Formats: sequence, C-alpha cells, structure tokens
Amino acid sequence: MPLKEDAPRGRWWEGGKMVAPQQAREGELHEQRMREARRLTAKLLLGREILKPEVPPVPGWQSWMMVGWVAVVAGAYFSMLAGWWR
Amino acid sequence: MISTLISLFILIAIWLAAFGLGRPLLFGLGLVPSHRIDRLLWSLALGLVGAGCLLTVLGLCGWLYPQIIAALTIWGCLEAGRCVWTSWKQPASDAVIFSHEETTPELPQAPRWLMVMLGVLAGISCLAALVVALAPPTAGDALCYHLELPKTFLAQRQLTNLTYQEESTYPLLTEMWFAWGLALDGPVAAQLMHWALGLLLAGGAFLLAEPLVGRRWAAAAAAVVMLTPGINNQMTAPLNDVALAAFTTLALAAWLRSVLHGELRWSLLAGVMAGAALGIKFTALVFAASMLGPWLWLWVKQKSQRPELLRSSALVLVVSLSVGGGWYLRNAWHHGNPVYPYLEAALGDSSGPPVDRSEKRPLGWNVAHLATFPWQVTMQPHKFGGRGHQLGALFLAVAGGLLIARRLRGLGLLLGIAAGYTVLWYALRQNHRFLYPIVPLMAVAVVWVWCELARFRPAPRWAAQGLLLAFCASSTAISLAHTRGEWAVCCGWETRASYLSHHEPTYAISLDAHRLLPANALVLSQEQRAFYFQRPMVRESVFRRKTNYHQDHNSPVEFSRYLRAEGFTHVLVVEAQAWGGIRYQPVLSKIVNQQGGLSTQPFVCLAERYYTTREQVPLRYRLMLIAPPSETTILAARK
Repeated sequence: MPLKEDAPRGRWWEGGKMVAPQQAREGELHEQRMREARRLTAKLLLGREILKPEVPPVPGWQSWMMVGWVAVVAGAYFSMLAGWWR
Repeated sequence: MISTLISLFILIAIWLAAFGLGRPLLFGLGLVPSHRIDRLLWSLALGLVGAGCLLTVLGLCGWLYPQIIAALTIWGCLEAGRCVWTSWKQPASDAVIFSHEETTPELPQAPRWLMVMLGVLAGISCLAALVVALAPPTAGDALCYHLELPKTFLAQRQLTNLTYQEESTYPLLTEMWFAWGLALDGPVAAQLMHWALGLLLAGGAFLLAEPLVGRRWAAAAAAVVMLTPGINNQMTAPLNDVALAAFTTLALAAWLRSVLHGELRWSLLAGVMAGAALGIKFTALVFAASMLGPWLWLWVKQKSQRPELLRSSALVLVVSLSVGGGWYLRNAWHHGNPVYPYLEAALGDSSGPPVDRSEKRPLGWNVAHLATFPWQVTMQPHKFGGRGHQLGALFLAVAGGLLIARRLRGLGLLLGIAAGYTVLWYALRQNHRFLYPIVPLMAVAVVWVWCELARFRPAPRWAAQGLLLAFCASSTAISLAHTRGEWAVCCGWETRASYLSHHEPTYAISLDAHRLLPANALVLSQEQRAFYFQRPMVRESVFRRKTNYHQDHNSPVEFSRYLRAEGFTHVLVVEAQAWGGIRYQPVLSKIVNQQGGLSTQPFVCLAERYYTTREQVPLRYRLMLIAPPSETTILAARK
C-alpha cells in the first residue's frame, strides 16, 4: 500500500506475482496485527466495530465543501470561456 | 494530401530511427523494464537524446548534410526493424538482461468507464492537435528562431554563431530535432516533432506516476497532461516548452526509480534525461534549483540512505553536465557567459538583449497577489503569456481536494518540487509556458484526488466526478475549436501555399523577395519572422541595439550610405497601421519615410504587400532596394 500510515516498506509486486516473499509476508502479518489492534482499540474505546479502519470515508461536510469549491471554480472558468466564445 | 502523408511518414521514420538507436542504448545501460510500454518510452527518449547529440556533433564539425542525416535515419529504421524482429522471434523474458520489478501500489482500481472517458477525451484532443500540426507553421517564435536557426544551420552545413541572432548560441537540442525534420521533409515534419514530443511528455507523466499510483491511474495522469489546454495547444507549434517538460519529467521519473530501487543505472538514465533538458532550454536550470529543497528534505529524513542518495545525485550531475553542458560551454565560448543573455548585469555587461523585464511579471510580492495568484493564473490567462498557453481549471479545482486526501508516499516530494519551481517562476518570469515542467507533477496530484473520491459518499462523489470531467471535456472542446481553419490544408483540399498566404503575414512578401532579390542580397528587416525568406535577413532591432545607428544616421541618404557600407542591399519595412496585437518599433520605417520629401530617393520600393491580422490590424510590408549612390543620382535625374 502506498499510504503512509498503512504501507510497510519493501513490498514489491510484479503483475500479481509477489517477489521478495519473506519480506512481504512479514509486512502482511504486521499489517494484519495492526488492523486487529486498531479494531480492538476502537471497539474498547468507542464501543463499536469499525469495518475498514484503514480506509475511513471522508466526512460528508468535507466532501460537499470540496464539491462546492470545484463548482465555484467551474462557474468562474466556464463563464470566462463563454466570454471568449462570444 | 500527399504532402500530409509524406510528412507523417517522415515523422514515423524519425521516431522509428530514434527507437532503433535508443533500444540498444537502454539495453546497454542494463535497464530493461518489464513492461513493453515502459521499454518503448525509455528507448524513444534515449534514442532522441542520442540522435540530437549526434546531429549537434555533425553541426559542430560542419557536416550537417541532409544526405548524412537521411543515411543515419535509414540505418536507425533498419536497426529498429531488427530489434522488433529479434524481440518477436525471442520471447521478452529470454531477452531480459536485467529486469527491475516495479512497485504496483494497491489502490482502488480506476473505474473502467472513467478510464474510457478520459482516454476518449485525451485521444480526441491529441488528434485535434495533430490536425493543426499538419498545417504549415505560423507561430511567431517558431518563425523567428526555433525553425529559422535550424534552417540557417542546414544551409550553412554547420552550427555557427550568428552575430545578429543571439539565440544561435542558446541550448538548441530541440532545434536539432527540428533540423532532422527540416532536412528530410520541411517545416511540417519539424512541427510534427514537437507534437510527438507532447506524446512523449504524456508518456513521461505515465512513468512518473506509475510507482506512486499504479499503471491504471498513471494512464489517467497521462490523459490529464494531454488534456491541459496549453500543452495540447503547444503541441501544434514547433517551440520547445513541451520538449523541456517531457525531459524534466523523464529525468524525475528515472531519478525516483533510482531513489526507490537504489539502482545507480537509473541515476545514469536520469542524468541523460536531465542533460537533454539542460540542452533544450535554460529553464531546466530553474527546475534543477527547485529540486534542491526536496533533495535536502530527503537527505534529512532518509539517514540510512544518505550514501546512496549522494552517489546517485553525483552521478546525475556528472552525466547531465556531460550530455547538456556542451551548449553552455559553447555559449561561454562566444559570449563569456554560459547562460547568456541571463546574468549579464551581474557579469558587468549590458550589450545583451533585455531579459529582466517587469512587464513579464504582472504579479507583485504583496499579500493580495500572493494569496490569489493560483486563481488569477487560471482565470486571467491573457495576463500570463496568452490564453493559448493556459493550464485550464482542473489543477485549481483539485487543489482543494488535496486538503481532504490522505498522504500518498512520494506525492509530497513531487509537490515540494512543484512548489519550489512555482516560487522561482513567480520571481523570474510569470508565463504559463514556463509552468509546463510541473504539469505532470500536478497531474499525479489530480489523479490521487480522483482516486480519493472513492471515499466520498455517492452524491458528492458523482457531483465532483461530473465537474472534473466537464473540465476535461472543455479542454477537448478548445482543442477542436483550434482545428476550424486547418482541416482543409490537413486533408489536402487546400494547398500549403494557399494556406500560408491566408494565415502568415510574411509569406507573400517572402515570395516577392525570392523572386526579385539576387542570391547575394542581405536584407535589414523590421520583421523578425524570417523563416519563409530565402535570403539572409538581419533583425533591425538587434542591429539597432548593437550599433545605435539611429543616433548617428538620421537622414535617409546618409543612412542608406551607412547601410551599403555595412553590406546591406535591401531593407524590409513593416508598419502596423492600427493599434492592437502586433507592434513594431518604427525607427527604421520613420527614417525611410522621411525620403518622401526628397528629390533623390535612396530607398526604392520593389514590392509592397498588405496583410490584415486576426486582431484586424492592417500590416504594410515594403521590400526596398538600397540604391547605390550612383543609382540614387540617376533616379533623381529621371524624376
């Protein structure tokens, strides 16, 4: 995984075929243990199960903020293009 | 249509020859990436650099003969055919000398529909650019020197220092590739070289993004680069900004692999690509400077990899200077300054052309400008070198998404380089064209944000994806709009001569010059677009700056004598008869026009042409003979 928090270093893949298997296997085990630990911590502290703690969804307000920003840029840009067309 | 097909055939032959030269070089370096596309891209890039260096050496030795260039091209094509035949006969796995495994990150797969849409939009933009590139070149800078210089070098069979054309000692690797096209076909093949370099830039973006986001998203990054309006537009003209961006990107992609894999072979390749970038344009030095900050960051963070980092960087430096440093030595040889005309003031010389002009930097160092510059650059492209060079709105739109996206390993490094480059861009020359080297870096960020949209809930995800695709579609629409006047000449319904007479102001008067002027004529010209003239031209602006003739010779008779003594036989006077768009310094035309009240007329008009530009500015061209003193008297007697 390329994500900083999740990715063990030294995992090398080529077309679905794993190379350096020992290293990758160690990384995988480590990752599994970390996931388990996170899941357990979340269950103990929050009292609920987190199914995919490594890929949390973006909160709704953040997503809509992003959409709003893109819409503002789109409005300004397309009106500029329309001005050229005229 | 035949001429279009011939130009395309020559382009394919040139790139095939580059592949034929580059593939053995790649194998010789011990680098054989496991994927065919990667092999093809690295081979082409390496072959182009090798061929460019070869043409430069031929030029320096005075052997720049079209026959030699044609023979080398045929040899390269045969070599490419042999390589393809060998790899077809022998499975790739057996042929591999050294194969380095690429990292393939585990990211959510790019949706198929998205890949198809991006591919279709990028493909249409690319074909639209090809249609425009198949029309004869009319871009100002191209006709001033990007094509004019290789034309002159080919005519003289060597790379010479042209006194009144200061660009002749700049780094000219791209112009050597244009010389390749000019020697085998003509200006259209040269123009197509830059179009193909745009494809290489997209390939470079793919190679840069691949270790970070995987092959599929990397293909999306390549499409984003291709859909950048300015890059797509510049692929249609024989300039050098896209070529520079292609080789800075390839250098960075190779260097990233050397850092990731700890392989010095990749550093060697990075050095060759960086050397090519140095040989294309001075701006490569700015890109190199922008890498200093991220390099120091790596040095601090990666304590265990310091010796490798130092070794690889030293190798990149040595190899790049060996490949591209020759151009700077040549410049220093002729002007005493390796980066002439830059830093002239620092070296105590002010004879060079003015390069540090404040009007080239519309934004100042104040809070309001600094805070709003990404918005201004996107929404007011006419202030930053013209709307034809704009970057589009995709990058600005996605900037907000980077605040939400998670950290991707390697992306911080790329964005650090992009940020450093942007600061230098802001300080030195605020023109969109100079931002092209960081477009592939920003394209990786765009792709990562797009990838992160998978973490959005469906409604905002679809809204964001729809808007981002609308930006891409608008870029394709802009590319298609540029083709309106070019379909006819591309398809052969209009001849190239007819196209030029409608689209190029200098074409008609250049035909007159070819018809009326003797072969040994020397023309002092107010017009800088000299490519279509078949006689030697000296730029009046450069001549004036070097001689200050207008201070000593004000009267037409005296001035004509002075010009004759300097070896000129004719002058080309051009006047814009209204405000707007193109402007000419009226010094020469004013002196020539003073002869209206004289009984003896030292300047005799041989031909006069009018042309109206797109901005509806009428231009008046006059080709005039500088009458020798005796003829001046005879003409006066006839009157």
